[in-house]
Amino acid sequence: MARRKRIESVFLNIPYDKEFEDLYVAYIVGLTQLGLRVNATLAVPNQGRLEAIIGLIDESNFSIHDLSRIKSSKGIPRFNMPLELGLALYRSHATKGRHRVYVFESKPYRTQKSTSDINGIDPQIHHGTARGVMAGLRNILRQPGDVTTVPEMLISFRAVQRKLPELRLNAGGKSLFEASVFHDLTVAALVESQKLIESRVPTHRR
Amino acid sequence: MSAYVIGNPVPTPEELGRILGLSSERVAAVRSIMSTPPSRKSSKGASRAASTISFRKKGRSGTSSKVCGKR
Repeated sequence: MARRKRIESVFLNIPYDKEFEDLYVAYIVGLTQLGLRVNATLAVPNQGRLEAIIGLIDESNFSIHDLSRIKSSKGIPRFNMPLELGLALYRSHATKGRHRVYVFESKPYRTQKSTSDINGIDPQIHHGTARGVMAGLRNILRQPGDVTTVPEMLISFRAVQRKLPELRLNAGGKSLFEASVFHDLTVAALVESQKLIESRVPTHRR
Repeated sequence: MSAYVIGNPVPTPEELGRILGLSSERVAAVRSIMSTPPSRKSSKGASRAASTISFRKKGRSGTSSKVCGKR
């Protein structure tokens, strides 16, 4: 009989735009390969959205907030990511630090200026690269036995990236940021992860 | 700052699929996509890739989608 495992989960607070697609895939692959379930606001409808977001943060063990693209878009500042960071920080306060909050940025020292209230939190600087995201994730999270390496995560990232057109077609999504595609990306990342795990076992005979 | 050690092993695709409420057929379809080598060399594959690229470019220059409108 199949036993349902409890899997720790992470609330992922990132921008959803074309320019961020590579890093979006990098986050999904990296977090999934570390064994986490990724909670994102992709499937949250506009009605009751704030309540749903609070619920997602509540049920997540950690949250990751990428503040690399909060600058104004078409003259309008992007407040959603700092807003969700604030919700998560309150969640962390209310749970006495059990909900862990991690911040990612592309440029060093920028959060000290943009979000100086969180100066006690050292952001992970990814320099706008998938490798930077993976390295940041490995700095803050690890599997028991510490098996997954950044180069392995990058191999999986590239494998998933090559299959994005097919995965998107299969899920029937127009954008990578649709819930159906997002779910398939997490499964695809685990397929790659399994290949890596199997490749580590030198001889596996039945 | 020390890294947090995750309390569960990495799940299999099937285990995650169950948690996410995905059907086993869907998980199998993703598995199949990830298992097949890239089909760039065939003419059919090339045209499919080209159409996808043109779709992506169109999406980039077009109006924002439902999802992108959020942030």
